[in-house]
Amino acid sequence: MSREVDMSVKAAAGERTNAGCLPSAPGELTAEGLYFAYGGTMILENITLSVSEGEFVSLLGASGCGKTTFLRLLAGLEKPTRGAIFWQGRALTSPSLERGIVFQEYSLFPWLTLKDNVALAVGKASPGATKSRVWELADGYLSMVGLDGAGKKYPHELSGGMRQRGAIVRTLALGSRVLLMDEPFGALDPVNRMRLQELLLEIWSATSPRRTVVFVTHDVDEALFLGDRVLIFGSAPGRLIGELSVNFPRPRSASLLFYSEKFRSLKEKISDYYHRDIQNRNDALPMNLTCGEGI
Amino acid sequence: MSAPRQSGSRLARFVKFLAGFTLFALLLLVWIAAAWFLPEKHQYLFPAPWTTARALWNSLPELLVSTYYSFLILIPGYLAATAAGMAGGVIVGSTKWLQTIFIPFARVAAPVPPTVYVPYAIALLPSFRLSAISIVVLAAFWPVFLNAVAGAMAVPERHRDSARVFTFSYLEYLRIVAFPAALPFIFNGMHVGLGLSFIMLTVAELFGASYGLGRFVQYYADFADYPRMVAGIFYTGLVTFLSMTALARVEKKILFWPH
Repeated sequence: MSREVDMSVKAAAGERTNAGCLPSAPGELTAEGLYFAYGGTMILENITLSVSEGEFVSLLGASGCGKTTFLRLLAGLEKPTRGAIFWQGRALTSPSLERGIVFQEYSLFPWLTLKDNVALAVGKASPGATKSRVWELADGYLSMVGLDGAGKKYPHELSGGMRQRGAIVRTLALGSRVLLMDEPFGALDPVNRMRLQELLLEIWSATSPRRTVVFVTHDVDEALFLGDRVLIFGSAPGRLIGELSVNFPRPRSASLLFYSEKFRSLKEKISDYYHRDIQNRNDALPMNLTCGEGI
Repeated sequence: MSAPRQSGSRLARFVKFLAGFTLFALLLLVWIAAAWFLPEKHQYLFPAPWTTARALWNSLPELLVSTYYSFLILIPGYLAATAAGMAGGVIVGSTKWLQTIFIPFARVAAPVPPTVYVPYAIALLPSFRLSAISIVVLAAFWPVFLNAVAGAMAVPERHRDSARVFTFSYLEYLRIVAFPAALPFIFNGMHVGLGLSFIMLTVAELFGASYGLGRFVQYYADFADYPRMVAGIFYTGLVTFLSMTALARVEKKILFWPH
């Protein structure tokens, strides 16, 4: 873990590193000097970042870099070893309806119908509502993601894409202001994946005020297509190695975006970050252990 | 997700169904042959198939009454054990501090063969029925309880996480998440428990019942009426088989999701 990496994180995070000292804006989700260790292994190291309200942030990293752990920390499902996460100006101590989480697969309870899953969330979000009102709201949520006719079906009777739509809308039904998504489209085929990416952006833009989204992925295209900003995670231990602003106009079209010059240059920047990270790590190793010598 | 696989044509399936009877047919043939060739003096201990069939037909009314009395013990005992086992197991499996208390005890208590309780239960409790029911409870409780504990402890992490984000109360967690998630385990325990219940039922009846399936077999053995006794064995086997099948049906209906 060389000094340079830490420097580059600070440089990348820019003024946001200092923002922690100031009273944060309402609705802002902030991690400050976050460390997480599990069984003696450091999983996450010194992560400082903030996500403003209504922002769509992609969190890009290789498998096993700790990005899922980071998401669980944001949800309040784990406690940091050091540092803290602030939500609405207060240190986060436990999970809440405000920060819903969508997993890669099988988020829905398999023993409940799709509609029961959503109604459960609606009931939690508005505890005073009558039964018929809860059903009505659940129907509304289902039609929001084009699952009108599927309410009576059980998760195993739905396709992978439908299940993920159901999982997303269940989180919306919780009334969550922050959506934490852990590679939600990772198990889908490319066509479905693209459709759901567009649907997600559609829903996100349509709701007002906009929800904050932290979207974990290992797919560079996905990260760039969806996010206002891409946070780049390095591995072992997981730490922030870079950050990119992605200011493509919205609504975005995947077919146009992917062939643009700007998109390609952003992709190059991302691979630069990774190359630099690998370089730094190799430099940190003793000479005789350097891999790939003589190639 | 996986539809039941249709293997081959209708004919092929019928042949497969018939093949399931091969061993039954073979054993019956051996039995018939044995009865045919056995000297007459042994036929007293070893009744021929037709003698047994006649005995079965003649004792059918008595067997039905015996079944009724046996079920008066089996059903309340089994249901009480299952209810207590699944409720207790799901609670213990979802509660860390209860695990530290219950699991060491269960490790010692569960493996005790329930047959050893029979004489004492009969001596201790006022009526035979009550002692037999409590023996069945003791036998069926542990497998259901231990499986429910294991099931509640094995709730997938994403469901636990969802439950915490949903801010479920403890009771909501038990009802909406832990219990359904543990159901496949609970049914495993219920199958084992049902088998043990039948064993304990018949053993208990050997000791002191006036009616019942185990009592029927014991009674005619005492009078050396072996055709009736063998008929009783067959009949008890059939009842056990049908009960097991019924439970499997219920399980299939309740556990409709992939698990």
